[in-house]
Amino acid sequence: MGYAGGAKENPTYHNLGDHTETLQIDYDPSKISYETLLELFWKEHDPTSRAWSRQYQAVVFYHDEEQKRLAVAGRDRMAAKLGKIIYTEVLPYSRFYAAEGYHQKYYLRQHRQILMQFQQHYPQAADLMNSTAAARVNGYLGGYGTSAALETDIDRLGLSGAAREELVERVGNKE
Amino acid sequence: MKNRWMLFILALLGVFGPGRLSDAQDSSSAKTGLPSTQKGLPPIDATVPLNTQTATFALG
Repeated sequence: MGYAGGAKENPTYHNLGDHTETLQIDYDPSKISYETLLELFWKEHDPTSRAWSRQYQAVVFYHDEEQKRLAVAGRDRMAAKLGKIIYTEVLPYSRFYAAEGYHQKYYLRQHRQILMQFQQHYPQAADLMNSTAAARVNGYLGGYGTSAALETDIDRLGLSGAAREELVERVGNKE
Repeated sequence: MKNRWMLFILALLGVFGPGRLSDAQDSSSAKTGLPSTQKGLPPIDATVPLNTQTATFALG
């Protein structure tokens, strides 16, 4: 999670300047395509909803011409499909500032026992933020994923003992 | 934030966490690659793909 799109240097949540709240991910294109990510993006927000502040506007920040082409094509398809004005913008990526630590891994931070195990793996906040395991556990704790999916994942997440048991129990309870 | 919801979904799809960046650090100067802690990494973090790309979204 972080901030992008503005000119202010070193923005913070309480001093955001002209930036927009943004998520940035590194992904393996052999496992998931940018097109699939864009499909999720269009599905997860209402592009016909006008943003009343720069902080909360919907934007695709493209990193290269191919991403731009795909994003513009997606926006055009949405416009044709919905027959309404699309307010979601397609803008060139310039800089991304990671948000403060308390904005990262929100659900994981609600579970101290599990969080502590991750902090043992990753004493540095930036490393925790960049951990795929932490991101995935965060997703499970947020209610995404099933017990069956967790069963295939659990041995790869680096959790043991009570923390592992808590994760399994929490996911089971959400189903 | 809506961005969080999408991030959770992406995490379950096998996408990495948010960009490999340090807190409040410009991505152009952030280090990339394996986290600095090498011992006892969660197995899913121990192998980093040779080729990664970056995507940046704001969901309003």
